[in-house]
Amino acid sequence: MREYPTDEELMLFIEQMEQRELYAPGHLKAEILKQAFPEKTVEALPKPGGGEQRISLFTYRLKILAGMAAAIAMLMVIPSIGAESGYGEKVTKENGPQIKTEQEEAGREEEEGGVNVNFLFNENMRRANERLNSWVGRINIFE
Amino acid sequence: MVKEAVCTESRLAEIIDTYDKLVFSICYKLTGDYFAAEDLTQETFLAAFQKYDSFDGDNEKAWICRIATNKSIDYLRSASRRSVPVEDTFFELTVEERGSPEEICMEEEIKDELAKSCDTLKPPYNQVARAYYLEELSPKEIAAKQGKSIKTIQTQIYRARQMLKRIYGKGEAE
Repeated sequence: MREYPTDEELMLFIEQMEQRELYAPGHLKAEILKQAFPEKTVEALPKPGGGEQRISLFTYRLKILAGMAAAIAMLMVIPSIGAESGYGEKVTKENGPQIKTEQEEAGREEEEGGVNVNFLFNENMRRANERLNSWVGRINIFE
Repeated sequence: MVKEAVCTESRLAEIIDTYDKLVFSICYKLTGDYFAAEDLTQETFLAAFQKYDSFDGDNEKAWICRIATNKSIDYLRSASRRSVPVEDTFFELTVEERGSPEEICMEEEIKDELAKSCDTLKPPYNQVARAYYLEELSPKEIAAKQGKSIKTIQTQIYRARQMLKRIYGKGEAE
């Protein structure tokens, strides 16, 4: 097991070494200083968020905001146009007799033992539409 | 001699200029491995820099050489070393093993061995390794000479070093 040298052994060893021609690679000093003082030796990186980057980020944000505003505006405007023109009412009035007719037909088919798939589908779609219109109508109330 | 309380960059540079050859030679003498000696030399000066506060200012040379010697011995003791330690005392460890009776110039010996190892590398690593280790050019100078970017040269130096370390490691195992 190798032991560390005593002080006397170390001094003798140093004397022996100094009698020889000593050598060290030339790049060692720079590498040591780089490790000991890294902030000063590292090249300065370009600052993030420079002038051009700021402008492009700003315009990007503007575009996003404009898109959001347009989408929200469409959500508000289109249903209100539909409400003003009474589309919802027209639908119920217009479809009313049709629905009754379909109901009558469905009733007849049930009596006959059959099922009107078309009627069921249309009925479900109508109900979904009514719910959507009532929900959009509530949004318009907040205007 | 009045010792500074803090080791500044200029003070560290001064210490390196004074003792780098002695420290590297000690590390190379004890390990016989150029790259291990390089790493140990760096560790020695960095340890001296970090522990400068605790140094009492008496016999700076002995203090730094003590760090270098102990680090080299720790390196030899580490588990990765294939060679089984036989020597019991420090002086037995430092007996000249490379056979020639006359004084061998350390620089020549190191550079001969490096040259042989560099020639085993594939291009462009062999050229970069020769320029860096044998001609002792800086990465900036090598980049200017070869017309490449400094980053490319630094990467190639790093890779060449890894390959050379492996070559040296294999040689020691044999």
